[in-house]
Amino acid sequence: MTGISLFDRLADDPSRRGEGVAPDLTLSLADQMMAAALAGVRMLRRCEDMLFPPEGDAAALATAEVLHAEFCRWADDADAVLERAARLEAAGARVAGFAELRHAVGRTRAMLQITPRQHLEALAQVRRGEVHTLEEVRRDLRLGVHG
Amino acid sequence: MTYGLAFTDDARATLRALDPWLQEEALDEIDRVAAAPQNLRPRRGASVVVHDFIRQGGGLWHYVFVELRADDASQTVEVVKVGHYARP
Repeated sequence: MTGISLFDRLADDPSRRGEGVAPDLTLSLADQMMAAALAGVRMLRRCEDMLFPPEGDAAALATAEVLHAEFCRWADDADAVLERAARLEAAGARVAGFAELRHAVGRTRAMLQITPRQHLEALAQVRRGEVHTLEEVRRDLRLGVHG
Repeated sequence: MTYGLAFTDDARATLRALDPWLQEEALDEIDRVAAAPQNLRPRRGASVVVHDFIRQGGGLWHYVFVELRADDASQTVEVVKVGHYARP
């Protein structure tokens, strides 16, 4: 993520100590990195449908795998921003968009648990009729808890 | 119109790995979304509709992501995959 190294330098710069934990420049940089990260995920989400291709479309699968990797990189970059912003928040500063970015990363990481190939395998399970009713799942989960 | 729910093995396995309270929350949420199957038509070029929700519990934020698809012929909402991620 652009700005991370500069943020770390400014935050660790001994000549800037005494300016407070969140001097204006550092906070401004965090705000801008936050905005950039949110803009990045908005752009990727416009293509989100492509993460879940139909069966039998090799080109769509290749695109899905590229997009999955893009989302992974975004989530790693966004976590790096959140880590810096959390330091500022812990010191009493308010970084705009902190909660929104945290939730965006959480949602994205939940989505990324499903790879395009796993998605296709699950579609194949549906096609083969390998599915369970709600009642079967509830019973299975209760057995899991008590058994 | 009420459709039945059909969970893949993969979706069931992910649900099984959740904390019991979150399993119940997830099933209730899926049941609620499936009550409007007309909203579960994949857009052109897509194979599923996605739905996500957030819950807080045990000191963590839980993010749950679900792939769904309505099959009008069998009047079933298929729960294709479930993803889960938790963080403080």
